[in-house]
Amino acid sequence: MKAVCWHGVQDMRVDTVDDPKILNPRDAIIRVTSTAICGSDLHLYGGFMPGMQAGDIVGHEFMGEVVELGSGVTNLSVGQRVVVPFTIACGQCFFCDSGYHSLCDNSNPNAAVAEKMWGQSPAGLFGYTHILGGYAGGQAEYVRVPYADVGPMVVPDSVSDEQALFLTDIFPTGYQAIAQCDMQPGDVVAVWGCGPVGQFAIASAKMLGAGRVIAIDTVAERLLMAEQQHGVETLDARQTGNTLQIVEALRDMTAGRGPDICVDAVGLEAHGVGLEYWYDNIKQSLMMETARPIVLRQAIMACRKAGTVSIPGVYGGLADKIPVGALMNKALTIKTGQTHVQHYLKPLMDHVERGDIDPSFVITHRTRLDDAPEAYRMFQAKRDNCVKVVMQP
Amino acid sequence: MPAYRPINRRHDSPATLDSQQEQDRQQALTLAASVGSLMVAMRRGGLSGLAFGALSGVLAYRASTGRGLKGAGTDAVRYAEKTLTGHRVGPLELSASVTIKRSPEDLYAHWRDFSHLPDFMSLITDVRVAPDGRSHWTARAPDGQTLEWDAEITADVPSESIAWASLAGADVPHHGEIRFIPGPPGRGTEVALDLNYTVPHGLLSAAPLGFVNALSGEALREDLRHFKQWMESGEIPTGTIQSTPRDGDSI
Repeated sequence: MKAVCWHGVQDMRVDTVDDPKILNPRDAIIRVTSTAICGSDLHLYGGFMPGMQAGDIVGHEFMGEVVELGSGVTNLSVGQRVVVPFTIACGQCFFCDSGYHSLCDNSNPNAAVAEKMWGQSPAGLFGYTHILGGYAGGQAEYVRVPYADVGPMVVPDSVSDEQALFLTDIFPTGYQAIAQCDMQPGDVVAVWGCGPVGQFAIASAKMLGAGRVIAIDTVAERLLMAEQQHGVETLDARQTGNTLQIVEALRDMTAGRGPDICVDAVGLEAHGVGLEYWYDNIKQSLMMETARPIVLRQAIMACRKAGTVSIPGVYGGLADKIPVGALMNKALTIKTGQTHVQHYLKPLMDHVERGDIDPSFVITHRTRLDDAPEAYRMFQAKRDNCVKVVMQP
Repeated sequence: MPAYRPINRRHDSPATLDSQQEQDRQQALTLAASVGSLMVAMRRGGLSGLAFGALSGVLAYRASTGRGLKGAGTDAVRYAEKTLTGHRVGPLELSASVTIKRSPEDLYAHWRDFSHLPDFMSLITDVRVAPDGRSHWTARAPDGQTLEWDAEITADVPSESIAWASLAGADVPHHGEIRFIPGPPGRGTEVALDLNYTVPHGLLSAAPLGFVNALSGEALREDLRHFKQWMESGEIPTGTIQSTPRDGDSI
C-alpha cells in the first residue's frame, strides 16, 4: 500500500510499504477514506519530537471503512464507516475507566522509554514517535487499529467524511481545552493560536457559554478566520509586541483583570518578537531546550489571579524561563494533557449530527495522498493561507 | 537500604538504629582508609602509588554509597570476574512491582496456574505442572539455547502470595515470591515480585550466564507490565507492523 513516511527533518515521502495485518484479537484494519495533516505532525516534520525512525508511517487524523476485524471485536462489522481517535486506549485500565483515555496504562508498548522521559507513560498514539508506541499512522491506504472495540465510532450516514474527520483529534482537543477549565458564566477566554485546535477551542468556548473570547495569533488570515467564523475579538500578537506588551493589552481588554481562562493552543514551536524569541530559538537549535515556550509564558503572565491556564498545545521535553513566580503567587491552575478523545467522541458527534457545528470550516486545502510532501511544505510555511489539509488516498 | 519503603519484600526490614549506627561507623572507617591510601599514594608515586590511588578511589566510592570495608574483598573479586568474563556473578536479587486493576483473587488464580506464565514472561517458554504440584520450567537464553529446571511451591496463601524454589540440578538455581496486596479503593491490586538467583562462581556454560545477564530489574518490571496488560486488556500491545505481538519494537 501507499503511506506517508517520515525519513528525517523536512523529509516526508510517499512510500510503498507492506499492508498492515491483524496482530492482536482486538485489532481492526481500516481502509482510509480521508486523512488530515495535524499541526502536531509539523513538530515531527521539523524534527522537534525525539523518537522518530526513518520509514515511520505518520498521521493520526483518519477515518475510513472497516475491512477486517480481529476475533475480539464484536461491536463492529466489515463495511462500516468509522472515525478513529488518535489516542490508543484499552478501555479497561484505571485511567480509561476514569475517562482519561489519553493516559491509558496499557496501550504503549514502549512505556518503559516514556517512563524514562516523563516518569510515567501516557497512551500510545498513531504515527507519533516510538516513545508513544511506534504505531503506524493513518496517512496511508490502510491502517491497523488496536482496541477497535473501544476506539472507533460508527459515523451516521447524514454526516460526511469532512464533517466527521476532525472528531479524531482537533475538535475534541479544542473542546477539552475549554471543558476541563470549570468555566463560569461571563468568563473571558483568551486563545493563543488560531490554527485548527485554536479554532475549535474558540468554537467550543462559544458553545459552552463563554462571556467573551479573545483570539490571539501572529498570522492575519488565521485571525480573520476566527473573526469571520466565530465573531470573536482578535489580538495580532506581532503588531502588539513582546510578552509584556501582550499581557498589558489583555489587561486593558479586561478592565485590569486579565482573561479568566488562557489557552495555549500553540505548543513548542511558538513565534514571538524581539529578544525573547531569539533567546528560545537559539537555545532550541543548540538542543538546550526542546520547546520555545513563548506562548506558555504569555498565558501564565496574562492570566487572571486564581484563573486557569489550559495547554492543548504539544510539548515533548524541556522548556526554560517559565514564570513560576507568577504561576505560584497568582494561584493559577494548570490543565493540560493529550486529548481523551474516546470520552468526548459521542457528545461531539451528536453536536455535529444536530448541526450545532460543521467542523469542515477549518479545511483550506484538499489533495491526494500522493501530494503529501508538497502539502507538508505548504502547511509548514503557512503558504496560500493554509490552515488544514485533507488528503484522500 | 533505601530510606523509603518499597512494597517489595527484600527491602522489608528497615534499618534499625543499631544497624544505622553500625553503618555510620563503617562509613567513617572506610572514608578514613580512603584518605590514608591517598596519602600513601601521594608519597610513593610510581606504579605502587597508582595502585594505592586506585584503592583510595574505590574506598571513597564505597564510603559515599554507604557500604563499609566489610565485603570489599568479595566485591573486588566479583568485579574482577565480571571484568574478565563480561558476565555477572554472585547472588542476584531482583524485584519489581505494578498496580493491576483486578482483584487479588483473580490475579492469584491466574498466576497460580504456572502454565499461564509464558504468555507474559519474556524468557519463559513453557511451564508444565505435574500432579504432585511440582513444575518443570523451560526458558530461553538470549543466545537461543534452552534452559530447564524443576521447581516446587514453598509457600502458598490463596489470594495473597505464592513462593517457589528451583530444585537441585536446576540450570539457574533460584527462588521467588509473588504477593498480591489490595490497593487503594478502586485501584485494584499491588503486585510485588521478588526473585533471588544463585549464580555460582567459576566456570559456567554460556547459556545460564547469558540468561542471568539478560535479567534485570527493568526486564522483570517489563514482564510485570505484560502481566498487567494481559489481565486488564486481554492482550499485550504491539506497535510493530511486521513481527508478532510478542516481539517488541526495538528503539
